[in-house]
Amino acid sequence: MTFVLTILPQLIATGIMIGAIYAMLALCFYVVHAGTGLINFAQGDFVVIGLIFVWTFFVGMNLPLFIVIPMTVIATGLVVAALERLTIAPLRNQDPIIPLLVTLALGILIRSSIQLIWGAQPRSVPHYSGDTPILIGGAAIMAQAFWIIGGTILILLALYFFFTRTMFGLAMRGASCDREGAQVIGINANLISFYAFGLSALISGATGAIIAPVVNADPFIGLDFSLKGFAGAVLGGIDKPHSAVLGGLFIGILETLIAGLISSEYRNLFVFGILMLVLVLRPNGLLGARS
Amino acid sequence: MTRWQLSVCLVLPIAAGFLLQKNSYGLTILAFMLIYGILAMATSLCMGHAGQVTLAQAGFFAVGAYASALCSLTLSAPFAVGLLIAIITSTLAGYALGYPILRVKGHFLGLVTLAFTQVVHEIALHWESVTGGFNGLYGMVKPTLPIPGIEPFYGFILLLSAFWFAVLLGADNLVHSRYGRAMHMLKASEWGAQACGMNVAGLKCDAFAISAGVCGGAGAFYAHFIGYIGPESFTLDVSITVIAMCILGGMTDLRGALVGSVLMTILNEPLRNYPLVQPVMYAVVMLATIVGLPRGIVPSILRWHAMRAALRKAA
Repeated sequence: MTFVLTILPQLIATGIMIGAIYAMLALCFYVVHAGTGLINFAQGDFVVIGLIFVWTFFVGMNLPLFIVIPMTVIATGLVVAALERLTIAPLRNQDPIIPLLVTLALGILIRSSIQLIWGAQPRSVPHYSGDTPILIGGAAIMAQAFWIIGGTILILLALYFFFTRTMFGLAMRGASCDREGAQVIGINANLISFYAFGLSALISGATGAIIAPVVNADPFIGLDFSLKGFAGAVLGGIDKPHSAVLGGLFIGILETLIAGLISSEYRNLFVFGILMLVLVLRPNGLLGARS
Repeated sequence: MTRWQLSVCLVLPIAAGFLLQKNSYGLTILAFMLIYGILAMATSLCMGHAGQVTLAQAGFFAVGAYASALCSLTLSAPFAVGLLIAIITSTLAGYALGYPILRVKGHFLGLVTLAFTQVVHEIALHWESVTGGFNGLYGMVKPTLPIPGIEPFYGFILLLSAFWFAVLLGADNLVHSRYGRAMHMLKASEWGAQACGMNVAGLKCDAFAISAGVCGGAGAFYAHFIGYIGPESFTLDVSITVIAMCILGGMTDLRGALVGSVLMTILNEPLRNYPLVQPVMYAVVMLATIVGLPRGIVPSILRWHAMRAALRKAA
């Protein structure tokens, strides 16, 4: 018991850091789902694009950090925007199962292209502000964790502004409530789809940029990101941005606690078991409306 | 399918196997075509006909493979028993997965079934006492027909062809039955199906479980064909490959699943020596097919034929 108490603060601190990553992914799922009604199977791979760009710019080209982060965000955005125009946009009027398969294929394309060009071995990026841990209340916290949590808060604030103050954010929220209704009052569905993917790519790029030092930039990590981010979005409720974010945080903390206290081998089994349970009991998510 | 097409399907693998009897490389490719064909038909039933997105094929394939391998290795049961147990176990797994995720629709369903495949992979990797962990299970022997003078490999191909044909016949009958029409209705409109008094939940669950059972049977053949199974045999790539086959051939037609499985297996052969390029090519082929030919080869040909016939009538 004392063992549990001593490692608990550490686990919760790590959990919040991991949770912040999943929260960003859950938010991306929300954005794409709101704009297009799609679940983007390549979501985690978008983050991996960000990771690999960070490695290229920061380690490969040795550029300073204040250039690396914006460049990563922009580069990820450009890649995804091009992919959206080439593959998602032409299929907008097809049966919804078809764009879904496209995102699945995009995921393989991104994963295998990265493996082909950069190789399969994980790439590590040095911590941005040294790797001496900071001790807070019995938990040793990596300095990078503050980058991650701070970055998450910044992104959330920017998105809050976007969704409540800009015409485009409002249009996107409108489209998420009722896609056909939004079209009737003149919201351009084609443009919304483009911007939804673009925005999710910008968030993914920024996420990739701040988490690169704590996850090794391995081309196959994207799938795990997708699954956990999605689990978070469903657990919280994918209809609202804040519930998706809270769901992601919850999944991160839950996963870390399970890995630390029960079994790290079966942590995905437990996480998805809980997801199934939530789906049976509360199909709209823990924070969603009761149906 | 017409009776004529079904007879061609029956004769083709048997004849191809007979011609390739001495050529074990050719027979191996044929066996892969048949196994992937079975998986593709299962996918076509669940996704193309009942409209339920699934990425769980690899998971059910693994359940069937491990169940039959364990039957052969620990109980030294004959292959037929292993096959039966594989089908029963994976059907039950299909119901177990189907029940809680009935409430989830469309794209959500896809990700939940993806999670199922990942969880099965994780269990196969970590439950070492049963699954052998990373090392997997080995020592399964190819079953064959007890006919004197027959090549054992050809005997196996005959058995596999029989199962393949049985699945084809069953699926074809199912699709054209009352039940199959209900599945089409479910795909077209869930509310419509409900309004017509269909048991939507039961129907979805059944579609899931049937497809799972078929995948499990394919798993039993796969395990005994290769003689080794491990967690890496059943990654998500299997599900994606099978779906790519269905897209290429045409999701809404069983013949599409067969055409897709044959074409993709052939395409795969020259790429096998380039493991890095192979997935890139897969993704490019998949994307190009979806964007250029969203309905797939077989339905596109059928439409073209119908259009020509209509034009001729008008002329």
